[in-house]
Amino acid sequence: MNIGVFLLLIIAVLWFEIGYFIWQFRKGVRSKRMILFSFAMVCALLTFSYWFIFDLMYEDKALPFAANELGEWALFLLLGATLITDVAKKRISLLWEMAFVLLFVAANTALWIYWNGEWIQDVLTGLSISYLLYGLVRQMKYSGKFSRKQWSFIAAGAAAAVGFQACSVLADGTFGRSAELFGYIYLVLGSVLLFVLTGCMLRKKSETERSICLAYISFAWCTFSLYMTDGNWYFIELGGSYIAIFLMFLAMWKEARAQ
Amino acid sequence: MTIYAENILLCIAMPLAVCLLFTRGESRRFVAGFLLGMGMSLLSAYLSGFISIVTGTEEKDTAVFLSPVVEEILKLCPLLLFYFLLGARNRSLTNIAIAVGAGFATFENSCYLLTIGAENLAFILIRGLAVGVMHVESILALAVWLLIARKLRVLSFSTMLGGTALAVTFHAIYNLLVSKPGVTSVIGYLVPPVSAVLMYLLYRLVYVPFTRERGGLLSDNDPD
Repeated sequence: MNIGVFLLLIIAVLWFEIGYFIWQFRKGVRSKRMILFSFAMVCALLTFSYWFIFDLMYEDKALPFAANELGEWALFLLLGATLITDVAKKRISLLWEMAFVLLFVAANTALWIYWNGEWIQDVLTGLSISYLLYGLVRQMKYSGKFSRKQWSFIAAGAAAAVGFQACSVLADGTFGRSAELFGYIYLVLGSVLLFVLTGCMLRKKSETERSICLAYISFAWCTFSLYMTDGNWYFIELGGSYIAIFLMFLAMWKEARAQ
Repeated sequence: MTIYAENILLCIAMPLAVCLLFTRGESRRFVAGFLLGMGMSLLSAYLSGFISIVTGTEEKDTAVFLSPVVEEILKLCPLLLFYFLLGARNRSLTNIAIAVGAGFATFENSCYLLTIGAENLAFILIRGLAVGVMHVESILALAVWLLIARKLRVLSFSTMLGGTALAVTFHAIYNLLVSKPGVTSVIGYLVPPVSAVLMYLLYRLVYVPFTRERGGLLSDNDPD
């Protein structure tokens, strides 16, 4: 499958998003969150552009450690900052939530390292994603829009994803292959479920906070799924992450309209 | 051809260092920023060479893939020095960023010209308008980002890293495009001037209206 077409598509979408934000700023919108989000989108645009150009120019060469990886980390950090900006000074207890987040990211990072051996890149990716998840958890907790049951559901879903991945990486033979296939299907179904939930929330007139949180959860899910898959499944999750980026944009759009 | 980069730096830096004694305020900061920019250019050449040897990366790959990371991080250092230790804010910080970028580009161009010669005027113009503009643009964008992050009260290690990565990726795209001759390198040479025009338009259309608002988000009347 040609990745260039995928990348061109997301680059076009990102140009549209950035143009929309500039138009909003010209109109006088002063949302801190939107300003930070627009920077994150510029970061995504540059990262995907870099990837596209590299793919075009050095088709036969594997992408080395380069700026696009740094760009990905920056995207996670800036998206995290987007969520933290409004609740930065609020006192919120996140002990258990952060304990789970750190455990989840550590388990994922260990699996990535086991898989590809690029431990410096993987550790740094894990750290930057932790910041995004920290912002997400903080925002979710502060908004108070998620019940205990929903928190448990999200945690169980994330733990199951790591479980499938661990089985597929560590186990051999039929069990390993089955776990891998089930894991991939589970990740894709999870992405679809999150897209549907986010879409439903975006259609409601209120619920801006919940829409933003769900869109970010979709993005985080797709990002982890992307790093856990390969082959055609990778392309499916790549498409999913583009949809998640667009959903985050729609959530911001909704917030701008609400102001 | 062997060039003695340290000697070139000394030759250019000495009159500027003397200027520091006879200038005050913003002019002195500008000259200091220019000098630091040149110093960082030399340091980045050392560091890139070191990384190339340690990792066994080819010279061309180092220039295309690793140099942008090293150069932008080193260009950020003087900016952070002025920001955190000397309290440079708003217009003062952007002026210093421009000085650092210009100093960096000037020294790099000087060394480049000594290596390949200055006979071809077209090439000299491309070099000046592309690399020269790119170095100034990337660090200026970073300075503006620092100011915005501070006003939004989200200035932290992570947001600084995020901003630096933006500058690195922009720089890396340029290096990547010009790494092979042909259409891509022509596009690459056009990237810095075109993005400079875009940045200027953004500055006029978005940033200036914000700063004009009294107490606005990016106002010079800083609440801190």
